[in-house]
Amino acid sequence: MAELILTKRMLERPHDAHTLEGYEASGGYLALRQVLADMTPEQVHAEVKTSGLRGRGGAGFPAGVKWGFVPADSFPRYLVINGDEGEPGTFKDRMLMERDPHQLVEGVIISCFALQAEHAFIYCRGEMDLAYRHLCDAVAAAEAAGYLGRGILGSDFDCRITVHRAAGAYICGEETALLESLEGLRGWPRMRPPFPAVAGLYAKPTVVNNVETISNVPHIAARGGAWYASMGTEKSTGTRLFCLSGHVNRPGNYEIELGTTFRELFDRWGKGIRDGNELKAFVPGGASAPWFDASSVDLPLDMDVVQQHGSMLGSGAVMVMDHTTDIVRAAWRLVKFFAHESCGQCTPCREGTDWLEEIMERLLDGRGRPSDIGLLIDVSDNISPGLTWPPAQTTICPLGPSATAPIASTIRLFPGDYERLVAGNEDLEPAESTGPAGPERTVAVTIGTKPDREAVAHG
Amino acid sequence: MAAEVFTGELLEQARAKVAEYPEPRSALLPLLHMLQEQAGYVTTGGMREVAALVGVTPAEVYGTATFYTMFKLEPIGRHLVSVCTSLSCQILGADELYARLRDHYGVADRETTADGEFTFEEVECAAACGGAPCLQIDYRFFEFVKADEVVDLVEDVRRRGLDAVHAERGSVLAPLPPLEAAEIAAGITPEHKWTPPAEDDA
Amino acid sequence: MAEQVTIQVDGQPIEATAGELLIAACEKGGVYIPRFCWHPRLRSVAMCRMCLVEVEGMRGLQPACYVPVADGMEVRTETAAVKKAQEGVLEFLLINHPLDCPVCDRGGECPLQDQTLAFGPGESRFVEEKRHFEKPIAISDLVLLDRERCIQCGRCVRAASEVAGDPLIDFSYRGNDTQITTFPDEPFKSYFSGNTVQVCPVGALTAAPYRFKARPWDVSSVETTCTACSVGCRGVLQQTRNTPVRFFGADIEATNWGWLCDKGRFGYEYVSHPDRLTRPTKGRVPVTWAEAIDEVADRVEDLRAGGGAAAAIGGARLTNEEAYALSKFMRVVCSTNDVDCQLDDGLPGAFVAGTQQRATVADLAGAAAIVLAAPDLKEELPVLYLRVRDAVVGGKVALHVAGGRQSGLDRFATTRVAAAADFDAAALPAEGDVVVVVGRQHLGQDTEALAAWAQGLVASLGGRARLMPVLRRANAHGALDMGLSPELLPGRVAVHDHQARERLSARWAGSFPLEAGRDTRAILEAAAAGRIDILFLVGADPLADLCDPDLALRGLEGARYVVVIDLFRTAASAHADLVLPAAGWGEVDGTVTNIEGRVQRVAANVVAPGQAASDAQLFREVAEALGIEFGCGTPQATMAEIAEVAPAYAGVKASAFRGRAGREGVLATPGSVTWTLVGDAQPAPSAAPGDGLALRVGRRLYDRGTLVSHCPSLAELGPGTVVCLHPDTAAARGLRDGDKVVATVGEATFEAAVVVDAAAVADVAFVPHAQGGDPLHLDASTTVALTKRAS
Ligand SMILES: Cc1cc2nc3c(=O)[nH]c(=O)nc-3n(C[C@H](O)[C@H](O)[C@H](O)COP(=O)(O)O)c2cc1C
Ligand code: SF4
Ligand code: SF4
Ligand code: SF4
Ligand code: FES
Repeated sequence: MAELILTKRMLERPHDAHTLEGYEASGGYLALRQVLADMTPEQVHAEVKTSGLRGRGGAGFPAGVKWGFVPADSFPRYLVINGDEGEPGTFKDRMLMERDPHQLVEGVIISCFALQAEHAFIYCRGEMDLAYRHLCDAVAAAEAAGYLGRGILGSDFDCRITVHRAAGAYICGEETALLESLEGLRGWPRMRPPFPAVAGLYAKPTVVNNVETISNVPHIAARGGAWYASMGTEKSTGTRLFCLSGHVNRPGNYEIELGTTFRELFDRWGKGIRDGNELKAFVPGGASAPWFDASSVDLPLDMDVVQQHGSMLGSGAVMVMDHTTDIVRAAWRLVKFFAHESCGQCTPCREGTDWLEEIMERLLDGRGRPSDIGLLIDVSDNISPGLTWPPAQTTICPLGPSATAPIASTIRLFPGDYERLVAGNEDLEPAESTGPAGPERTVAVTIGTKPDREAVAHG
Repeated sequence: MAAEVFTGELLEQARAKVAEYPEPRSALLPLLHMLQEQAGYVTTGGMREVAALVGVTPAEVYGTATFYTMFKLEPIGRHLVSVCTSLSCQILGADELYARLRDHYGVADRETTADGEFTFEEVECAAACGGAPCLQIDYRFFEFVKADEVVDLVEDVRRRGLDAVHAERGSVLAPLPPLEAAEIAAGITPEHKWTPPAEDDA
Repeated sequence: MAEQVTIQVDGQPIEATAGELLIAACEKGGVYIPRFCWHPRLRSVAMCRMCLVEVEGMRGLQPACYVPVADGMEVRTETAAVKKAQEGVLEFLLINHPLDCPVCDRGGECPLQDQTLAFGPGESRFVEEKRHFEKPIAISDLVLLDRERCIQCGRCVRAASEVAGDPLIDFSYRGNDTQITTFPDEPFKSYFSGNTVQVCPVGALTAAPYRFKARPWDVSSVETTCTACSVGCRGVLQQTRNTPVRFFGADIEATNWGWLCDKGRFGYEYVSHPDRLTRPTKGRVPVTWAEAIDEVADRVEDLRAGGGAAAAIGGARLTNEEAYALSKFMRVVCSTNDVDCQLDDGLPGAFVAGTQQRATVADLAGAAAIVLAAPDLKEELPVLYLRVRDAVVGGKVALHVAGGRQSGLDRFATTRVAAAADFDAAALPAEGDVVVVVGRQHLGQDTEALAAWAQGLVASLGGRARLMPVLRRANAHGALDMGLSPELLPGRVAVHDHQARERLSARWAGSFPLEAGRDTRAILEAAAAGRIDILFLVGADPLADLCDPDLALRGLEGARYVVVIDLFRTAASAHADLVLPAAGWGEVDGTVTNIEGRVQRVAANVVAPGQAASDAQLFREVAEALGIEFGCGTPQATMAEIAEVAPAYAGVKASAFRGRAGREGVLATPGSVTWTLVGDAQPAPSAAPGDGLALRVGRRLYDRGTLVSHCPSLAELGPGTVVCLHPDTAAARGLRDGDKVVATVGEATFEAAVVVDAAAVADVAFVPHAQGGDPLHLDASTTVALTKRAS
């Protein structure tokens, strides 16, 4: 019999779940007491491994495995919580931080214990004013109650949490950009290796986990990894928060066991498509995910299956579009998002996402040319070679390729919507164009010969 | 150059913030938030003070500050109205909503009304897609905003103040999962789990 | 020694060092991978994505500038996927690039241009509007930034922050709005700003002095050595129509790694300044070169006949060959050891020349610790500052600062003491090499004590110590090695060294005293007393540079006959009987010797103005006019003669400078002269007596000295007459930044502006030298009184 794990308390005590009193009154911090009294860090780590808990930030990497990458003898180490939730369609972490901050704080403390980290940071999206305040209050209350600080609950375990307020940059959700940002720098993703688990914050071993991921930890610690693993599917254990939005009658966050189908999500939880309309397309897992059309509605909410079908569950954001939707405009909106959020570090993303946005804008303005569709594909291909899934990239981080997902998938699924926009615009083609631009286009470039002048440039 | 923003108690707070982190530079964003709260925007002089407090050059502070959209390098209105036009809001009418505001106040994106009361900006996903279309006023959420009511909402804030209006018309906490009691009681076990098709059709 | 491995690149084996970057390994193996953001002397960031290649076993394309090679690695640089990615990146870079190559300073030598010939605007698939920015903005006095041309490779930012430690430019904004900026209205004020221009792969950063001066195809270039200080940075000097237009760094492993300081980079401007001396003058009257030679020859002849005395001050501006000619002339023709290339502002000559375990610049990075008892290296020896910084940043090498002003290196210091004498050697690591950098920390310092201290420290450390004595002036080290010191003969030997005199007698037909001669002060004292018949001032101006202006004046007035050989009129030339125009840097061939004792070539690329000639020519012609066989007819001949008579320079032969290895120059070998402290060192009084402040006068990179003031781009960059005070010291006197004060030093008074500087030492007033005010009488105990002026 499945149950609600993460949202139970907030549903039962909507008015005080976020306070220490409300939290303690509903069993809060018992898990921590139990861990400190009876368990070793290794045991906690083992339970998390057994639970099969996978990251909820998008990549779905097993948390227990990630923790295991921290080099054994390297201290200090840090735990950083990714609360930068900003991917269009996602609104679950905000709810967890606003409504049940102690659940996260307890998860952080237990995770720190398992990781033998004494300092954790919660990187909270800047625009989430209330979440930030509730987190600060929760940390202060936990400190006052002895759940944080030196010698927690009489043990020899020390831990403190710094709540860090971000300032408006989606890319800082990418874990290495987040670490740069936390160091007071521009949020530029780092090249890997080194991986954060080896050299992260201040070049020290650092585990970065999502808010939802860590909010599960008190429950796993209290009830055991096996209990958690008994829910969901074999490889996607436990429950997950799905953020359902768009053209459904009842949008919202739903905590669901993995394995449910999209159809059930839309119909049973979303109460159907609005106005009795037909489903046209949906984004199965956040703005970075290639879109599906109505034919994929019976796929299950299972990371691996969705992956096999060319998309992902990602951050759990499902955006539903009915048949009235202007698909090109909707795709453009996500491209615009990525162009706006590109950190600007690497060339293909800095230049390419903006270019893609401008081409699409032209299409929507009625100034699109027939060759633009091939151009969109080719420019996308220069950011994400082959437009494969999972995406390849010429970029440093996955943001650039993410911008190509809505384009490539909608051109594939809804070619007519694009063709209609450029029909009759043949006269806009540049006169000297040697034919439609496309992937087969070849350009003579003097690459590979060393320009003598480089010597000058390099001095 | 004498400090003008970070003096007295604020200076103490700033120093305490710096001390919270293993490396002072980490306090850069928090200090810029303090500066913006104090001065209304991220001022040049303030950035110099922040630079001195965390031990970097003003150029580095500037490089960081300009990266983040929340930091305003110019003065803004008394209230900041941030309208989300990202996908979920867009497909539920956010463009119309924002157009109404701009038309009514005769301002363009990121402009301030002549009376200095409101600055309007279009923003990316505000993490309230379940309540789309949504907007934030001074980072407080208003969800399911209707185009016909948006001007009234903003004017209401002018009339009655943000606290009163938000308490009444805004979302005070993130919306709960919109489950009915019966649904909760029934548990959430899916009725039918997916089984892979017999042959590989991928 | 790092492990050697073999990798396969496009099917061909390439030898590489394990861990080295793929892009570098390929380049050495003859496979050039295009790149924009990678620079061999900067941290890899893999931002531009131009260098993507395929590596067997790695998913997707990999940036060759980031992947370290490993044995057996298989790399493909020419597949369709690689080409497509590279074309894609190029196209992305060009869509917002203005393509204004015809008016771009980089046009003709631009990697972006070179790699994109086929992407003419007509073929662009980009029909949207390009990004627009205000056309070039001056981000400093020397550097302009055109943001439209910028390809956001970040080389400039890294050069400024990582290499120079001046993070005054940075990226700002993000995404497509990303741009390079300074802090609003705050210039990119760095002594190393020109390096950013040099590393910029496009014409986004340009140097104001070079702007529109020339096109790359009509300049002629030579590789030479900078002589704006004694670090010995190598660079390429370019000229067009006999006017130097650009000097940029050459990447020499031993010294400058491609970097230059701005003074070195832009300091070529004086060469073509219209005020250069172009003909000999007697008083105000021009004379011919022949008349001038005759006149000097007559004077010297009288002196030789009548037992008169000649003396020479200066010579640090000369090449080794010129310095040798001067040294020889004074000994052989004038029979005197009264020669000194220092103006009591360096270190004891025999201490420097006698250094046995002498450190090289490269030793810095390999040492366990560096002890710095030197002036602010950034102000006096800028690229040495970069190399020390590189060694100590990140704690690779421990740094101990022993005295001197606070500098940009202090933040890396493990220990810092106020005076060298207070340094506790117990702070040094128990093992590993220790490099002791020692130089005069301020004018008026008792450097005998400093030298003795350094000697003692080195002796106490035994074989693991290396000493780097540093003198600032161009070729001061070479001049000492050539014997321009009262106690030295060419080759780092003592003037009384019999073996050396023996060797010299084969070439030096004349006799000179066995005892040491007079140093600059003693020469001037003797002159003031009427005991000097001919005083040669060779590129030296005691009136400007001696810490005893009164003595300098008495000396010049008392000398019977003063010959000034220089590039420009100086304060001293007003007292000269004869002024001769000298040819200088960029105009003469030869060698110079740097702080390590590394002998490197300087090359002529322009013809000296008018009748200006190499200093060596004057001395040779005077000698020959007297019928003395002098030799030294060409720099080459002189070099050969030096190698023959000066044991330390035995390896310095023309052949040593040929080929790639020759660009690194040759290290001279240790000489036999020894130096010991005579008498007791005077410990410097640490606190200021009375109500005055202790006065410290030191160098700043930019001053109003002869050369800098004739470089229009640099002349105004000095701080002017200022007094730098620690905030507490200023506050205690009720002084604020920018206040005007009258400073009284002994009899002299001058006006100055107060600079409140957290890096200043408390209770000390620091006054930068030669900023336009009159020189001051200085010694270790000089104090200054400051009175605030009502504004
Ligand atoms: C462009 C980009 C944006 C991301 N944004 C978020 C985010 O807002 N929140 C988040 O938890 N993870 C985000 N991620 C994923 C993180 O990089 C990282 O994988 C995650 O925080 C790890 O936590 P988890 O293992 O618990 O999921 C983002 C990744 C990318 C590439
Ligand atoms: S892909 Fe985009 S967001 Fe990621 S590093 Fe490159 S420019 Fe920045
Ligand atoms: S200015 Fe030049 S060096 Fe600096 S980022 Fe732009 S292109 Fe690169
Ligand atoms: S450090 Fe000295 S040698 Fe090097 S460029 Fe500067 S002035 Fe020239
Ligand atoms: S040279 Fe490798 S990414 Fe720029």
